[in-house]
Amino acid sequence: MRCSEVKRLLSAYFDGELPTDKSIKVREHLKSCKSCAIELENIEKIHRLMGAFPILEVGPYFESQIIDRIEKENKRRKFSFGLKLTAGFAICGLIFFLMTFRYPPKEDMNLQPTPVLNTYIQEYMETYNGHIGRNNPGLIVSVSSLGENSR
Amino acid sequence: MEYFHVLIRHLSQRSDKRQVILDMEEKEELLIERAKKGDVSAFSELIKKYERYVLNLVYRTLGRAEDAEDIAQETFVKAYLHIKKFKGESKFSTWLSKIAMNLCMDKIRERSNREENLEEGVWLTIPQDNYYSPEETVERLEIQEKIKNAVSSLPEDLRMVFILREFEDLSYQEISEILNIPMGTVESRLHRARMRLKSLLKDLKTVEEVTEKSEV
Repeated sequence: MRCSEVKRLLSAYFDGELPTDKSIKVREHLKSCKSCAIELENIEKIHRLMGAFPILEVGPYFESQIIDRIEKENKRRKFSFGLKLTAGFAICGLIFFLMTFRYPPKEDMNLQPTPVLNTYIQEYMETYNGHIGRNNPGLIVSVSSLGENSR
Repeated sequence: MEYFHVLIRHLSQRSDKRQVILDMEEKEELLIERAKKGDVSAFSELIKKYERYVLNLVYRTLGRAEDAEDIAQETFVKAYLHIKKFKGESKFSTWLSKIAMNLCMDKIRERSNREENLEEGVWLTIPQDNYYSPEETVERLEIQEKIKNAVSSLPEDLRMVFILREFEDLSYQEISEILNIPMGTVESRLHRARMRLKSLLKDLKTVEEVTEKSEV
Protein backbone atom coordinates (compact mmCIF):
# COMPACT_ATOMS: atom_id res chain seq x y z
CA MET A 1 0.00 0.00 0.00
CA ARG A 2 1.19 3.52 -0.77
CA CYS A 3 1.59 6.15 1.97
CA SER A 4 -1.03 8.48 0.49
CA GLU A 5 -3.62 5.71 0.56
CA VAL A 6 -2.68 4.62 4.09
CA LYS A 7 -2.88 8.20 5.38
CA ARG A 8 -6.36 8.51 3.92
CA LEU A 9 -7.43 5.33 5.72
CA LEU A 10 -5.75 6.05 9.06
CA SER A 11 -8.76 7.79 10.57
CA ALA A 12 -11.05 4.81 9.90
CA TYR A 13 -8.26 2.46 11.00
CA PHE A 14 -8.00 4.29 14.32
CA ASP A 15 -11.78 4.05 14.78
CA GLY A 16 -11.80 0.34 13.99
CA GLU A 17 -14.08 0.97 11.02
CA LEU A 18 -11.95 -0.59 8.28
CA PRO A 19 -12.76 -4.02 6.84
CA THR A 20 -10.39 -6.71 8.22
CA ASP A 21 -8.34 -7.14 5.02
CA LYS A 22 -7.62 -3.42 4.71
CA SER A 23 -6.94 -3.12 8.41
CA ILE A 24 -4.25 -5.85 8.18
CA LYS A 25 -2.63 -4.12 5.20
CA VAL A 26 -2.52 -0.79 7.05
CA ARG A 27 -1.04 -2.45 10.14
CA GLU A 28 1.67 -4.08 8.04
CA HIS A 29 2.46 -0.76 6.38
CA LEU A 30 2.72 1.04 9.72
CA LYS A 31 5.39 -1.39 10.93
CA SER A 32 7.75 -0.22 8.21
CA CYS A 33 6.70 3.43 7.61
CA LYS A 34 7.68 6.00 10.20
CA SER A 35 5.85 8.89 8.50
CA CYS A 36 2.50 7.07 8.58
CA ALA A 37 3.13 5.91 12.15
CA ILE A 38 3.64 9.55 13.21
CA GLU A 39 0.39 10.45 11.45
CA LEU A 40 -1.43 7.81 13.48
CA GLU A 41 0.17 9.17 16.66
CA ASN A 42 -1.23 12.59 15.77
CA ILE A 43 -4.74 11.16 15.51
CA GLU A 44 -4.26 9.47 18.88
CA LYS A 45 -3.03 12.75 20.35
CA ILE A 46 -6.14 14.61 19.12
CA HIS A 47 -8.25 11.91 20.76
CA ARG A 48 -6.38 12.38 24.06
CA LEU A 49 -6.65 16.17 23.82
CA MET A 50 -10.41 15.95 23.43
CA GLY A 51 -10.54 14.39 26.89
CA ALA A 52 -9.94 17.91 28.18
CA PHE A 53 -12.96 19.39 26.43
CA PRO A 54 -15.10 21.14 29.09
CA ILE A 55 -18.19 19.29 30.28
CA LEU A 56 -21.47 21.01 31.05
CA GLU A 57 -23.36 19.89 34.13
CA VAL A 58 -27.13 19.75 34.00
CA GLY A 59 -28.79 22.56 35.94
CA PRO A 60 -31.19 21.74 38.82
CA TYR A 61 -34.33 22.89 36.94
CA PHE A 62 -33.45 21.37 33.59
CA GLU A 63 -35.99 18.55 33.74
CA SER A 64 -38.83 20.56 35.29
CA GLN A 65 -38.35 23.28 32.68
CA ILE A 66 -38.74 20.69 29.93
CA ILE A 67 -41.95 19.37 31.48
CA ASP A 68 -43.28 22.97 31.72
CA ARG A 69 -42.45 23.53 28.07
CA ILE A 70 -44.18 20.27 27.10
CA GLU A 71 -47.32 21.22 29.03
CA LYS A 72 -47.37 24.69 27.48
CA GLU A 73 -46.96 23.19 24.02
CA ASN A 74 -49.76 20.69 24.71
CA LYS A 75 -52.08 23.52 25.82
CA ARG A 76 -51.17 25.56 22.77
CA ARG A 77 -51.90 22.59 20.51
CA LYS A 78 -55.25 21.87 22.20
CA PHE A 79 -56.24 25.55 21.87
CA SER A 80 -55.19 25.58 18.25
CA PHE A 81 -57.21 22.37 17.60
CA GLY A 82 -60.27 23.89 19.33
CA LEU A 83 -59.90 27.03 17.28
CA LYS A 84 -59.74 25.04 14.05
CA LEU A 85 -62.77 22.99 15.08
CA THR A 86 -64.79 26.14 15.89
CA ALA A 87 -63.76 27.75 12.61
CA GLY A 88 -64.78 24.58 10.76
CA PHE A 89 -68.22 24.55 12.38
CA ALA A 90 -68.66 28.27 11.68
CA ILE A 91 -67.84 27.81 7.99
CA CYS A 92 -70.20 24.82 7.71
CA GLY A 93 -72.96 26.86 9.41
CA LEU A 94 -72.44 29.76 7.04
CA ILE A 95 -72.59 27.52 3.98
CA PHE A 96 -75.80 25.89 5.31
CA PHE A 97 -77.36 29.30 5.95
CA LEU A 98 -76.53 30.56 2.46
CA MET A 99 -77.83 27.42 0.79
CA THR A 100 -81.10 27.51 2.73
CA PHE A 101 -82.08 31.17 2.56
CA ARG A 102 -80.36 32.51 -0.51
CA TYR A 103 -81.49 29.82 -2.97
CA PRO A 104 -85.06 28.48 -2.35
CA PRO A 105 -85.89 24.99 -3.72
CA LYS A 106 -86.73 24.72 -7.46
CA GLU A 107 -90.31 23.40 -7.09
CA ASP A 108 -91.31 26.45 -5.03
CA MET A 109 -90.03 28.71 -7.77
CA ASN A 110 -92.28 26.94 -10.28
CA LEU A 111 -95.43 26.91 -8.18
CA GLN A 112 -95.23 30.40 -6.71
CA PRO A 113 -94.14 33.05 -9.17
CA THR A 114 -93.33 36.42 -7.71
CA PRO A 115 -96.23 38.88 -7.22
CA VAL A 116 -94.66 41.28 -9.72
CA LEU A 117 -94.73 38.64 -12.42
CA ASN A 118 -98.38 37.81 -11.53
CA THR A 119 -99.32 41.45 -11.96
CA TYR A 120 -97.64 41.63 -15.38
CA ILE A 121 -99.41 38.49 -16.51
CA GLN A 122 -102.79 39.75 -15.31
CA GLU A 123 -102.29 43.10 -17.08
CA TYR A 124 -101.26 41.35 -20.25
CA MET A 125 -104.22 39.04 -20.19
CA GLU A 126 -106.63 41.91 -19.56
CA THR A 127 -105.13 43.91 -22.44
CA TYR A 128 -105.19 41.09 -24.94
CA ASN A 129 -108.40 39.44 -23.66
CA GLY A 130 -110.15 37.80 -26.57
CA HIS A 131 -107.08 38.07 -28.81
CA ILE A 132 -105.20 35.13 -27.48
CA GLY A 133 -104.68 32.59 -30.19
CA ARG A 134 -102.55 32.36 -33.26
CA ASN A 135 -100.68 35.65 -32.69
CA ASN A 136 -99.67 34.99 -29.08
CA PRO A 137 -98.96 31.28 -28.67
CA GLY A 138 -95.77 31.84 -26.61
CA LEU A 139 -97.67 33.57 -23.82
CA ILE A 140 -100.17 30.74 -23.49
CA VAL A 141 -97.34 28.27 -23.02
CA SER A 142 -95.54 30.56 -20.49
CA VAL A 143 -98.60 31.11 -18.39
CA SER A 144 -99.52 27.42 -18.24
CA SER A 145 -95.98 26.58 -17.09
CA LEU A 146 -96.29 28.95 -14.13
CA GLY A 147 -99.00 26.89 -12.41
CA GLU A 148 -102.55 27.34 -11.20
CA ASN A 149 -102.03 30.49 -9.09
CA SER A 150 -100.82 32.58 -11.97
CA ARG A 151 -103.85 32.13 -14.21
CA MET B 1 -9.97 -26.59 40.30
CA GLU B 2 -9.31 -23.05 41.48
CA TYR B 3 -9.10 -21.91 37.87
CA PHE B 4 -12.44 -23.59 37.15
CA HIS B 5 -14.12 -21.68 40.01
CA VAL B 6 -12.67 -18.39 38.78
CA LEU B 7 -13.91 -19.13 35.27
CA ILE B 8 -17.41 -19.96 36.52
CA ARG B 9 -17.50 -16.76 38.62
CA HIS B 10 -16.28 -14.69 35.67
CA LEU B 11 -18.89 -16.18 33.35
CA SER B 12 -21.71 -15.66 35.85
CA GLN B 13 -20.62 -12.02 36.36
CA ARG B 14 -20.66 -11.50 32.60
CA SER B 15 -24.12 -12.98 32.29
CA ASP B 16 -25.27 -10.79 35.20
CA LYS B 17 -23.96 -7.69 33.42
CA ARG B 18 -25.66 -8.74 30.19
CA GLN B 19 -28.88 -9.30 32.13
CA VAL B 20 -28.63 -5.80 33.63
CA ILE B 21 -28.18 -4.30 30.15
CA LEU B 22 -31.16 -6.29 28.84
CA ASP B 23 -33.28 -5.19 31.79
CA MET B 24 -32.34 -1.58 31.16
CA GLU B 25 -33.23 -1.85 27.47
CA GLU B 26 -36.52 -3.47 28.36
CA LYS B 27 -37.24 -0.74 30.91
CA GLU B 28 -36.44 1.91 28.30
CA GLU B 29 -38.82 0.29 25.81
CA LEU B 30 -41.58 0.31 28.41
CA LEU B 31 -40.91 3.95 29.23
CA ILE B 32 -41.09 4.84 25.54
CA GLU B 33 -44.37 2.94 25.15
CA ARG B 34 -45.84 4.74 28.16
CA ALA B 35 -44.61 8.11 26.87
CA LYS B 36 -46.28 7.35 23.53
CA LYS B 37 -49.57 7.07 25.42
CA GLY B 38 -49.01 10.54 26.87
CA ASP B 39 -47.42 9.54 30.21
CA VAL B 40 -45.23 12.56 31.05
CA SER B 41 -43.72 10.89 34.16
CA ALA B 42 -42.38 8.06 31.97
CA PHE B 43 -40.85 10.64 29.66
CA SER B 44 -39.33 12.31 32.72
CA GLU B 45 -37.37 9.11 33.37
CA LEU B 46 -36.05 9.22 29.83
CA ILE B 47 -35.01 12.85 30.30
CA LYS B 48 -33.04 11.91 33.42
CA LYS B 49 -31.26 9.19 31.54
CA TYR B 50 -30.21 11.26 28.53
CA GLU B 51 -30.10 14.90 29.74
CA ARG B 52 -26.33 15.02 30.27
CA TYR B 53 -25.67 13.28 26.97
CA VAL B 54 -27.90 15.62 24.95
CA LEU B 55 -26.74 18.77 26.77
CA ASN B 56 -23.07 18.08 26.08
CA LEU B 57 -23.69 16.96 22.52
CA VAL B 58 -25.40 20.28 21.83
CA TYR B 59 -22.77 22.24 23.75
CA ARG B 60 -19.91 20.71 21.77
CA THR B 61 -21.70 21.28 18.50
CA LEU B 62 -22.68 24.89 19.15
CA GLY B 63 -19.60 25.75 21.19
CA ARG B 64 -21.59 28.10 23.40
CA ALA B 65 -23.01 27.30 26.79
CA GLU B 66 -25.80 29.94 26.62
CA ASP B 67 -27.54 28.21 23.73
CA ALA B 68 -26.84 24.66 24.84
CA GLU B 69 -29.45 24.39 27.60
CA ASP B 70 -32.21 25.93 25.49
CA ILE B 71 -31.53 23.71 22.48
CA ALA B 72 -31.14 20.60 24.67
CA GLN B 73 -34.52 21.30 26.28
CA GLU B 74 -36.05 21.93 22.88
CA THR B 75 -34.70 18.54 21.78
CA PHE B 76 -36.62 16.78 24.56
CA VAL B 77 -39.80 18.79 23.93
CA LYS B 78 -39.68 17.88 20.25
CA ALA B 79 -38.89 14.26 21.09
CA TYR B 80 -41.96 14.06 23.35
CA LEU B 81 -44.28 15.66 20.81
CA HIS B 82 -43.11 13.31 18.04
CA ILE B 83 -42.43 10.19 20.09
CA LYS B 84 -45.10 8.24 18.21
CA LYS B 85 -42.86 8.49 15.16
CA PHE B 86 -40.10 6.59 16.96
CA LYS B 87 -40.46 3.01 15.72
CA GLY B 88 -37.46 1.53 17.52
CA GLU B 89 -35.52 0.97 14.30
CA SER B 90 -32.53 2.76 15.82
CA LYS B 91 -31.46 3.33 19.41
CA PHE B 92 -33.44 5.96 21.29
CA SER B 93 -30.20 7.90 21.89
CA THR B 94 -29.52 7.93 18.13
CA TRP B 95 -33.00 9.26 17.48
CA LEU B 96 -32.50 11.97 20.13
CA SER B 97 -29.11 12.87 18.61
CA LYS B 98 -30.75 13.30 15.23
CA ILE B 99 -33.30 15.74 16.65
CA ALA B 100 -30.56 17.59 18.56
CA MET B 101 -28.35 17.86 15.47
CA ASN B 102 -31.20 19.23 13.34
CA LEU B 103 -31.94 21.86 15.98
CA CYS B 104 -28.24 22.73 16.19
CA MET B 105 -28.15 23.12 12.44
CA ASP B 106 -31.12 25.54 12.61
CA LYS B 107 -29.41 27.48 15.38
CA ILE B 108 -26.15 27.74 13.43
CA ARG B 109 -28.06 29.04 10.39
CA GLU B 110 -29.95 31.53 12.55
CA ARG B 111 -26.68 32.69 14.09
CA SER B 112 -24.95 33.14 10.76
CA ASN B 113 -27.92 35.18 9.57
CA ARG B 114 -27.71 37.44 12.62
CA GLU B 115 -23.90 37.31 12.72
CA GLU B 116 -23.92 37.13 16.48
CA ASN B 117 -20.73 37.57 18.39
CA LEU B 118 -21.57 37.05 22.04
CA GLU B 119 -19.16 36.25 24.80
CA GLU B 120 -19.09 32.83 26.40
CA GLY B 121 -21.39 32.42 29.39
CA VAL B 122 -19.98 32.12 32.87
CA TRP B 123 -22.17 29.35 34.23
CA LEU B 124 -20.05 26.65 32.63
CA THR B 125 -19.11 24.03 35.20
CA ILE B 126 -16.03 21.93 34.76
CA PRO B 127 -15.89 18.90 37.02
CA GLN B 128 -12.52 18.53 38.68
CA ASP B 129 -11.70 15.39 40.59
CA ASN B 130 -8.26 16.37 41.80
CA TYR B 131 -6.56 19.33 43.39
CA TYR B 132 -4.33 21.34 41.07
CA SER B 133 -1.94 24.15 41.82
CA PRO B 134 -3.03 27.62 40.57
CA GLU B 135 -0.46 27.51 37.74
CA GLU B 136 -1.55 24.08 36.72
CA THR B 137 -5.23 25.05 36.85
CA VAL B 138 -4.54 28.06 34.61
CA GLU B 139 -2.62 25.89 32.18
CA ARG B 140 -5.40 23.29 32.09
CA LEU B 141 -8.05 25.95 31.49
CA GLU B 142 -5.97 27.38 28.67
CA ILE B 143 -5.74 23.96 27.09
CA GLN B 144 -9.50 23.50 27.42
CA GLU B 145 -10.12 26.89 25.85
CA LYS B 146 -7.79 26.19 22.93
CA ILE B 147 -9.36 22.79 22.32
CA LYS B 148 -12.86 24.24 22.43
CA ASN B 149 -11.91 27.06 20.06
CA ALA B 150 -10.21 24.65 17.67
CA VAL B 151 -13.28 22.39 17.54
CA SER B 152 -15.60 25.39 17.19
CA SER B 153 -13.51 26.69 14.29
CA LEU B 154 -14.23 23.58 12.22
CA PRO B 155 -16.87 24.02 9.51
CA GLU B 156 -20.20 22.71 10.78
CA ASP B 157 -20.30 19.65 8.51
CA LEU B 158 -16.89 18.46 9.73
CA ARG B 159 -17.57 19.45 13.33
CA MET B 160 -20.79 17.45 13.63
CA VAL B 161 -19.19 14.27 12.33
CA PHE B 162 -16.14 14.76 14.55
CA ILE B 163 -18.21 15.33 17.71
CA LEU B 164 -20.47 12.35 17.13
CA ARG B 165 -17.46 10.10 16.69
CA GLU B 166 -14.96 11.55 19.13
CA PHE B 167 -17.20 12.41 22.06
CA GLU B 168 -20.26 10.26 21.62
CA ASP B 169 -18.31 7.27 20.33
CA LEU B 170 -20.92 6.49 17.67
CA SER B 171 -20.19 4.13 14.79
CA TYR B 172 -19.93 5.43 11.22
CA GLN B 173 -23.26 3.71 10.52
CA GLU B 174 -25.00 5.59 13.35
CA ILE B 175 -23.43 8.91 12.31
CA SER B 176 -24.57 8.38 8.74
CA GLU B 177 -28.13 7.74 10.02
CA ILE B 178 -28.15 10.80 12.25
CA LEU B 179 -26.79 13.22 9.67
CA ASN B 180 -28.40 11.51 6.71
CA ILE B 181 -25.16 11.21 4.75
CA PRO B 182 -23.39 8.18 3.20
CA MET B 183 -20.82 6.29 5.28
CA GLY B 184 -18.05 7.23 2.83
CA THR B 185 -18.82 10.90 3.51
CA VAL B 186 -18.62 10.26 7.27
CA GLU B 187 -15.16 8.73 6.78
CA SER B 188 -13.83 11.53 4.58
CA ARG B 189 -15.24 14.32 6.77
CA LEU B 190 -13.76 12.75 9.87
CA HIS B 191 -10.39 12.48 8.20
CA ARG B 192 -10.51 16.13 7.11
CA ALA B 193 -11.61 17.25 10.58
CA ARG B 194 -8.70 15.45 12.21
CA MET B 195 -6.21 16.85 9.73
CA ARG B 196 -7.41 20.38 10.43
CA LEU B 197 -7.28 19.86 14.18
CA LYS B 198 -3.81 18.41 13.87
CA SER B 199 -2.52 21.63 12.38
CA LEU B 200 -4.52 23.80 14.81
CA LEU B 201 -3.38 21.93 17.92
CA LYS B 202 0.07 20.74 16.91
CA ASP B 203 1.89 22.67 19.66
CA LEU B 204 -0.60 21.89 22.38
CA LYS B 205 0.32 19.54 25.21
CA THR B 206 -2.18 17.01 26.46
CA VAL B 207 -3.48 17.31 30.03
CA GLU B 208 -1.42 14.25 30.97
CA GLU B 209 1.75 15.96 29.72
CA VAL B 210 0.95 19.04 31.82
CA THR B 211 0.38 16.90 34.90
CA GLU B 212 3.56 14.89 34.32
CA LYS B 213 5.61 18.08 33.98
CA SER B 214 4.29 19.49 37.25
CA GLU B 215 4.98 16.22 39.04
CA VAL B 216 8.63 16.33 37.89
